[in-house]
Order: sequence, then structure tokens, then C-alpha cells
Amino acid sequence: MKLDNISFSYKGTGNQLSNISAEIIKGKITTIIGPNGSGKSTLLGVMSRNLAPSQGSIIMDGKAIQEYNAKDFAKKLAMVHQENGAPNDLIVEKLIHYGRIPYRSFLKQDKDKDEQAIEFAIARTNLGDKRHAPFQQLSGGERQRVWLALALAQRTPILFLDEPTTYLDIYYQLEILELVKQLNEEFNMTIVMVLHDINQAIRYSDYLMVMKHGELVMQGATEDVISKKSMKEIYNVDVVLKNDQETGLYVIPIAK
Amino acid sequence: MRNRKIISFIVTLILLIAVLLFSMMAGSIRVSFGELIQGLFTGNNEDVIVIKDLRMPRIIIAMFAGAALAVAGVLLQAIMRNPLADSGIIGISSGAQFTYIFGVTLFPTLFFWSPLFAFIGGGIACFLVFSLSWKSGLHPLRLILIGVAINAVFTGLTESFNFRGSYSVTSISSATTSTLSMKTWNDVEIMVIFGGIGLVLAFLTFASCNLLALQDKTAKSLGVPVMRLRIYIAAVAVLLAATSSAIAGMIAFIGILIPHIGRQLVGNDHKLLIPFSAVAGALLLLLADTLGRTIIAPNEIPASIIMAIIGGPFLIFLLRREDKLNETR
Repeated sequence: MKLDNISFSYKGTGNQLSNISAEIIKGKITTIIGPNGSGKSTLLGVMSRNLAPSQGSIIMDGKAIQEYNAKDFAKKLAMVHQENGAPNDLIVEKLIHYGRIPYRSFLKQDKDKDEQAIEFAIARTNLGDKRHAPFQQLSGGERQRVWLALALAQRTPILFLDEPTTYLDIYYQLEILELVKQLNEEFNMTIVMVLHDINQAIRYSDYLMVMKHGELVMQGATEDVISKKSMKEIYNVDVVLKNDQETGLYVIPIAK
Repeated sequence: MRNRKIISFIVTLILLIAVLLFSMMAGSIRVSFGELIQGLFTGNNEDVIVIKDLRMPRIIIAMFAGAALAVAGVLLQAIMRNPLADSGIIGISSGAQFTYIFGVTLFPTLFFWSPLFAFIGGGIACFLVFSLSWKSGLHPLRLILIGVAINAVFTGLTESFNFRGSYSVTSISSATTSTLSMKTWNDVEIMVIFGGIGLVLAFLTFASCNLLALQDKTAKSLGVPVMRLRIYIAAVAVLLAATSSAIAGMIAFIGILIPHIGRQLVGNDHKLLIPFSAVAGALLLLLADTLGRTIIAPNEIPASIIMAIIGGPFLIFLLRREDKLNETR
């Protein structure tokens, strides 16, 4: 996926994104980080076609993303949104079934393939014992896994996640991120996500994209991007970098 | 869980049949069940012939209008993701009423197509409410406030058209106040054809309605053409509301009362909610009309007035409950 000179603005409020060019590497995990309001989620929204850029183009597999029809696009790219909602009494399995919509047309529906994809999604997200439960009975962590399962049922090579760990306890945060990592390793899925926590971003990403004031200020391999200097520039905090056997590289903020 | 849903459905259906029979038998002319059935088949009972000409049309229209309004409510609530949307409250019915009266006054010979005149006004009102209250999503209260304003404008327009110097010259004010009396089999034909088409189209949209219950961004990511579905479902809802407001006049609140009860009894799945609302809406309006014409006979209370008396407090109850839910969240 290639972004060429992307800009975006909500009606008359100035540029939320300006002149972003980048490349998303196939089969790797790329994480977008940056301070609040820097345009991370907006960038993900533009890349997933939820928002239309005011300028620039995004090429996926040799074709501009606007040129795909909606269903074909949904077969290529699935997205786990932030702050999602569903009717209280919707059964988990039924919700995950919606992931097969891109493959359905008026005349044909491949039931076997649908079943396979749904079983795959449920198995990968460990929702076997919750599949007949109504949505309202799920915990926050389970809900997030359901949304991930919905995206997995689409069987796409590309998966986007918008702040998948927000509002989750640390246990569930790691659960989701481990899942994402497995999907990347076992199925070679290309993953792009927005994360708040720098240490989680370092730990789970191959590449980082750093946003600030709607601009892409830095991009590259994780260990190249993270430095004392860059942290000061991005977040305006002084940090200590540690790197040990058990934890890998990690960042500790020390003062403003 | 599933059993409870099916039982609710069957009980409502049985109640509808019971009220239907009672409604046919009760009134200023009373016949027994046996006489009624016999008279309908043989056609030689004077009383039953009168019932067939005068009472049956209003019964059928009450049922279809009730079903249409309840289902229109379900559809509007689905597309606006707002449990308070009702074609009467947000001005769709009064928009329909205005163009309907305008149309049949100018082209009285096209009376059969009167639901389509009504459809135009209903569509305009729906579009106005939608576009004026949409601000990256629909805020429930803003929608209602804009709806009330639109409703006032169209009601005013209709009144001024009716008034023309004095109320005495007008022959159509009875249509605006909706007594279901004086309905003929011609009215039934129009109501059943247009209302029936609308109801069938509504049943077919159940899967789309379910998808719209997700957030737009989620549905979009699945390749669902969210806006197109919305417009289509809105058109079906407007057809239903317009037809019933053309034939049965202005009746508010059925569209929020019935879907709300329906969600409690049969859940949010539109596959069940839409048919249930149709049956329950038919039951409620028929009951209101039957009570209206029997409790103070020989005088009548119009069904629309009974609905307003029940519906007003219910809306307040819903609004207060919504407040509470927001607090605990």
C-alpha cells in the first residue's frame, strides 16, 4: 500500500492531515503513534476509505483505493474500529457472520467457505464458548475480540486496528496484541494499527509512523525511530531508553 | 428466550383476531357471531350488509393504518438509530397531509393516486428533518426538536389551505382530524394496495435494518452501501406513513409505542420486529378505534385523539428513561 501526498480536512477547519507520503510494507506490522489529536486515527480512516482525502492518492495492489467497489475493497482490507456498538441482544456468532457480507451477492453464497471463515475467526479469537451469547453479556476484552473476529471473517490480507487496546485492562491489552502478532506471523497479514502506548508500539511493531500536527514527521523501522531525541521532539518529554534481555527496548519518561 | 418471542407473537395475533371479531359485532347495530358469519357468506342479513358497508371498511383501514404506522416507526428508528423517531412526531405525516390535500383538491379525479401526493410531502419532510439534524450522526433530542418544528410548519400550511377565510367553506377538515368513520371500500382499496406494497417492501428490508444497527463505519468497512440503504428504507417508511395519513388522517405515537414494546418482547432482530410491529400496530389502532366508537356511543372519540392521550405520557416516560440510562453509563 502506497500513500502519495495525502491531505485531508474536515469541512473548513483546516488541514487535519497534510502532504503525507508513505509506504506500508506487506506482511509487516506498522504502528502509527503520536500525541493526542495528531491525526493518527484520521490517517487510518483515510487509508481505509472511511474518509475521503481532499488531495493525493492511495494505491493498493496497483489500483487506487477509490476505484475498488465497496465489496471488493472489503475482501482486501478489514478494519477494527474504535468505540464500536451493537444491539444488546445480538448473538456473537451472528455478528461475526456479518464479516461474510463482502462475499455475498444476490445470487450466490458459498456456505462452506462462509462456515470455514467463521470457524477460523472464532477459533483464532478464542470465542468458542461465547458464540451463542448475546453481545451485552460480554466483557470489554471479549467485545474487542468479537470485533477482531468480525474483521477476520472477512479473510483479508490487510487488517487495520484503531486503538484496539483503549479501555481494556492490561491483561486484555496484551491478549489482543498477542493475537495480532500471531496473525501476522502465521498468516503473513499486513497490519496497520494506531496505539497510544509507546512501549506496546515498540514491542509489537516492525515499523513506526509518527504523526504530529497532522504531518508524518518520522517513519521507519522501530529501533531507528525510537531515540531520546525523537521522543523529545514528538512528545516533548525527556526519556530514558532501556534495552535488556527480558523486555527488549523500552522507554521510560522521566520529566517534562 | 426464543419461546417467549414466539408466544408474544402468537398472543398478539390472537388478540388482534379477538378485537377484530368484537369490533365487527359491537356498535349501534349488534349481531351475534353466528349471524355475522352467516350474513357475510349468504348476504341476506340486512344488519350484516350495513356492517359490511359501514363498519368493515373502517376496521380494515384501522388495521392497515396501524400496521403501516408502526412499521414506518421501526424503519425510521432503524435508519436514524433513534428510538424516538415517529412519522407523526417528526413531521412526515403532516408533510404528507399537506401535499395530499393540495393534490386531491387540485386533481380530484386522481383520488386513487392520493398516497403518491402524500408521498411527496412526506418525502420532503423526511429529507428536511434528516438533513437539518444530521451533524456527523443524529443526536436524538435534536432530531425530535427539528421534527417538531417541521411538523408545525406543515400543520400550519395545511391549516391555512383549509381555512381560506373561514372553516365553513371547507369540506376536508374531517380528513385532518382523522375520524375513521365514513370510510368506503374505495378507501380500503387504496389503503390495502399502497399499504400492502409498503408492508411487503418493509419486511424485505429486515437484513438491511439489522446492519444499520451497527455503526456506520463498521457497516461501511464490510462493503455495505450505508447511505443508499438509508435512502431506500426511508422511502419505504415514507410510503407507509404517507398512505396511512392520506387515508386515515393524522395519528401520532403508534410509531414509537409499538416498536418500543416490540423490542422488549421480541428483541432487536428486525426479522421478527417488523412483522410483530405490523400485527401489534394493527391491534392497537383497531382497539383505539373500537373503544372510541363504543364507550360513549352514539358519540365517537376519534382514534387519533385516544392515541394522543395514551402516547403523550408514554413519550415522556421514554425520554425520562433515556435520561436515566445516560446517567448510569
